[in-house]
Amino acid sequence: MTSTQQTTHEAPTAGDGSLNVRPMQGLIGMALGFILAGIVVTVFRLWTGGIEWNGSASDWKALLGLGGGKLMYVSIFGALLGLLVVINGVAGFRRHGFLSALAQLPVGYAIGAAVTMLIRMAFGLTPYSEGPVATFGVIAGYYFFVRGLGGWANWWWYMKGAATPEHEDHSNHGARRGWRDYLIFNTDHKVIGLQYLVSVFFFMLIGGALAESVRAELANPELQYFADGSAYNQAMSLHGVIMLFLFIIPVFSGLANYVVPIMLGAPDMAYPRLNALSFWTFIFGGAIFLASIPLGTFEAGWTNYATLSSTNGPSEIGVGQLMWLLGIQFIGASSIMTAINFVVTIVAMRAPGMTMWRMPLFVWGSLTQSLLIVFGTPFVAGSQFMVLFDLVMGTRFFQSAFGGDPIAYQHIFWFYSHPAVYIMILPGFGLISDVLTTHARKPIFGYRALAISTLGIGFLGFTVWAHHMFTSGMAEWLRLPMMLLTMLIAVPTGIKVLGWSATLWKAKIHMTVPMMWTLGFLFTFTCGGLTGVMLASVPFDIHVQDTYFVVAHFHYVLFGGSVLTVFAGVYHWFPKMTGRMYDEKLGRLHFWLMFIGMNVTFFPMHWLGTLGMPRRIADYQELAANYPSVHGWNIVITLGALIQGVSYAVFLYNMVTSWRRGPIAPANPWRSRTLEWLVSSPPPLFNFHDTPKVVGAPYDYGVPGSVHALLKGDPGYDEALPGAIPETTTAH
Amino acid sequence: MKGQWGKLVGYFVATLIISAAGTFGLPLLGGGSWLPDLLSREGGAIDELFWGLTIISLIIFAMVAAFVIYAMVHFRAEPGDLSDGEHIHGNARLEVVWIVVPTIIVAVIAILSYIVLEDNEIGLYDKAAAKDKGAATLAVDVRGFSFGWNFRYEDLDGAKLTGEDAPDASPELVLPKGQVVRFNVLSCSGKEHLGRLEEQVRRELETEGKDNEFAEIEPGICEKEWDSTTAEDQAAAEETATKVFEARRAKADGDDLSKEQKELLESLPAYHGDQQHIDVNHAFWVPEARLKIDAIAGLRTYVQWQPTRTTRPDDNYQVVCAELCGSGHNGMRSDMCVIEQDAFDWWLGLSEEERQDATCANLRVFNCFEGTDDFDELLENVAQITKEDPEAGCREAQEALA
Repeated sequence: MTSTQQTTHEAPTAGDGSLNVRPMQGLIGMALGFILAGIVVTVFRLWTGGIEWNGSASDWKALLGLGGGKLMYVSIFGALLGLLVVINGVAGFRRHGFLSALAQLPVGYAIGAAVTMLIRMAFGLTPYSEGPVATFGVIAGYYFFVRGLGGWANWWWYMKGAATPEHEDHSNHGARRGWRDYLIFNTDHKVIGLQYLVSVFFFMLIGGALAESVRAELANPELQYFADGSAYNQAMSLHGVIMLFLFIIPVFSGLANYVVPIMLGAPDMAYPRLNALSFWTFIFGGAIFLASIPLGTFEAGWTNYATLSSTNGPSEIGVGQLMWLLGIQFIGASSIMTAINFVVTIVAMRAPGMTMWRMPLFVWGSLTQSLLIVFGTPFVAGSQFMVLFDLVMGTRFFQSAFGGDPIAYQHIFWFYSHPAVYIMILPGFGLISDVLTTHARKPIFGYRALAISTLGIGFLGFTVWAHHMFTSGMAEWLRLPMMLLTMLIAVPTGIKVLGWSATLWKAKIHMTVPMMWTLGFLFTFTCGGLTGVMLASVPFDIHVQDTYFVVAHFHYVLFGGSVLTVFAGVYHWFPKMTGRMYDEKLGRLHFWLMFIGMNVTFFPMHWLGTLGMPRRIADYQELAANYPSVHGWNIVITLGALIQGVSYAVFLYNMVTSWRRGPIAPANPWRSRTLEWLVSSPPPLFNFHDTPKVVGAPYDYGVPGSVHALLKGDPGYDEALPGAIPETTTAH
Repeated sequence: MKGQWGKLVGYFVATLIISAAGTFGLPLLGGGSWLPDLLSREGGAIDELFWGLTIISLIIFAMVAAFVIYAMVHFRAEPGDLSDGEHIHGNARLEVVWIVVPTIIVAVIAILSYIVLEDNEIGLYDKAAAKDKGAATLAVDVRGFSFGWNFRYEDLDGAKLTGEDAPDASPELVLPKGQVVRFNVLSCSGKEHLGRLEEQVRRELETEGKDNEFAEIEPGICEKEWDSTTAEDQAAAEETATKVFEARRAKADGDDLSKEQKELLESLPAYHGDQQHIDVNHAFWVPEARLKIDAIAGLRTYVQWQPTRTTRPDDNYQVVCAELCGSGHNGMRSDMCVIEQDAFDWWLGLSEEERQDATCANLRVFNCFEGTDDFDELLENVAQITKEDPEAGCREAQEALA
């Protein structure tokens, strides 16, 4: 131990609990805030020629921040700065944590808003304008939110050269204070995994409630429950956005966060602090979406096409549109940070012997998904920034009258959002392979073909974006290559479906709850994949584009595909995560209700679509007058949606009660081979007491005596892979 | 092994029958077909493609499903059986087969789709084929706006076909049977002119009259074709814009504002000029024709199809907006109808007043009567009939006229 660490000055530690009220500092801070803001604004206005200096009393008052009229804003700003100092002085808020974050968030918003208004004022604009003020308020609010959690502290201390106690002492991240662990800036990947899972299932509850409201409206023609088309569009848009950005994408962040490092034999993710920042950034973005509900939320659908989203000016569209544009940036940033973390973890943190060809397929899925996110997400961020600029700053990226191009939006948007479809399902493909082999007691059929096809889908995913735009009026020659490439994706996808099916040949299938979800997935995903090929056919797509056929297709892929794999994974790893078993009967009930409910809901949508029911409509009375079966099918669909709602309640009840009172789970209830099952349930703080050694394939079921990995203490551990783990140095 | 294959085939047949019965039979139980009535030549090929794709999909689905169900039935572990399944980790030959076969299947689908597409778009994008058989012979300018449709009839060179007294544009789509119609689709609010003027004023005030290469704005396509503003609107817009931007300028300069200027700034806080005058994207779709194309704000798009039959009283077909366009999206529908060529020529020449009765609702009844030359008298009679009985079908109408 060198002495440098002892001589550096002591950094404040999180949660030291000492009362530290400093009201005098607060008052001085307020006064200084007034004066500083006054000087800055006055000097700036003098410099830009906005005012002239006469040396009069009012000039001096303005310089001290005490001017009347417009300079009231300066005073407000000063007061806010002072308030911040006061808040900092109060011990309760100084302690890093969720309460502090909640307290600092509005202060940050106010400061961001005040600074923006000051700058606007300095340039002679009306100080308050919803767009810019809210934008910078939210950005500053985010900074203070994470500040309250303590998210910046370590980086800041490190830059100052101060001690970083958390960095040296990892015990903090697994403080084991019960549920409170989940409300702090915890860097344990297992805690973060559960944080993600619990919050996304909460978001899914809201997204599902919105879906039920949409279905209630559509059960009968004409408007019944929503006041007008606008209100319906809001519910529909919010349902899509919540399910895609707050459920399907982050739910895999949650599962992978918990499982992937253990599968690799790593103690944690490569960047634990970045991991925590990703999670809290995600929560912040999600909160923005939810906060937009009472304010009148966005109504341009999850695709947010310009110029519907970009032309009316924020005060006409409502602040909700602005909140979508801001929220998506935080969620996108969170997604990119998580993805970088996974790529590095998977490339660099594998245990000795864990070659690429020994990685479980869930890891392959996660790796490919992360690469897609890193390459693709900047495009959706870019497209939404352009819409934001069009709205707030008056640029005209998407207005043809002034040289913009409305179709360009769709190109940029789908260049991310098509790969996003694979972002939403590739980890599920991997997950299903793991669950399938374990519960069928068989090696996966064609391991390398499955791994390579994952990469193949990921690569092809970037070449097909314009198949969403066959009717958009884009360059007509682009349709042919896009059709061919889209159909080509059916080949690697087919390899997967056939590989999973072949795995079942001569297997020993244990009909556990995770296995039921897996088998159900094989049916529904195959259906969704086949309608995907149908939609790739340009002439047919021209008829059904923007109809319920498309809605049916993507619900079969995303619900019948992704969501079913999510439930397979949640039941499969529930014993590992909680240390308890779920209720088998309720699990089966959940499966049957949801499987039947989803097919009743989504299958008739195919017929509605081909029959001519456009998507995103609140009312279909003209269509029902021409084709009476439309009304009947809509009633059936709404009943299906109700069944799904009931099944979700069963699921939540099962999870909550089993987590609290379920029977204690053994370390490896499924007799699986992969590393996460070789440690206790739940795993110890750093997953492994000693680095494991990987000596075999992950799925070699049916080979007597073969193992995937060895832990210290297992026979043969010391002899395996000599020299793989360097002798621990005792230099310090 | 042999017995297994036999059983597998049995499972496949059973699964295929059940899924086909569900897919095809349930819509029949529901009282309707899968597809709307067919109105266009192009739609016929699309329907055939659709049924082909559906059948291929059903067969592939049944193969996968039958295999999985077979495995679920025959490869279940007995309770308490802790042994593993057979150690099969792959089969190179089989894997090659299921790479090659799907590739061939999708290639065939793609080629067939391409043939249908080419056949449906003769001369649409390819100027050289514009005179070929199957290419368009009539042009309809379609304008989508929030929330409705307008149609204008032209020959292929853009010359107006409607008579002198006829309204400039029709809110309903009336088509002649048998002609291939090319739709030139646009989304225009009709007020783009005002937006341009306001922007022009802003730029001139901001550049203070100095020469500026960006100061002059060219009129866009919407302004040229669908401008619905009057000279008074334009003058008013210019005046308001001048006042607003002068007031903003005065405020930015720190000058004292007049009471009027203050009120103006307060009443128009989000005054964006052009932003409020352009429209959003829509999509022009007649489900019975099976073809749609987006109506893009200020950019022209094209689609063409040939109506193959006239519409009768039960054929209440509509032009539908398929692209989410805001609060009035679901109501953005216009009636459409197809009439005989000679009737269409007569209809084009009708004056604005005469068009009052020539709605699609009436023209559908009008179609029940063939072989008449005096269209004016027929329309008058039909209008009388539908006035008394709006639900009148062909038989009722013929009886009433007789």
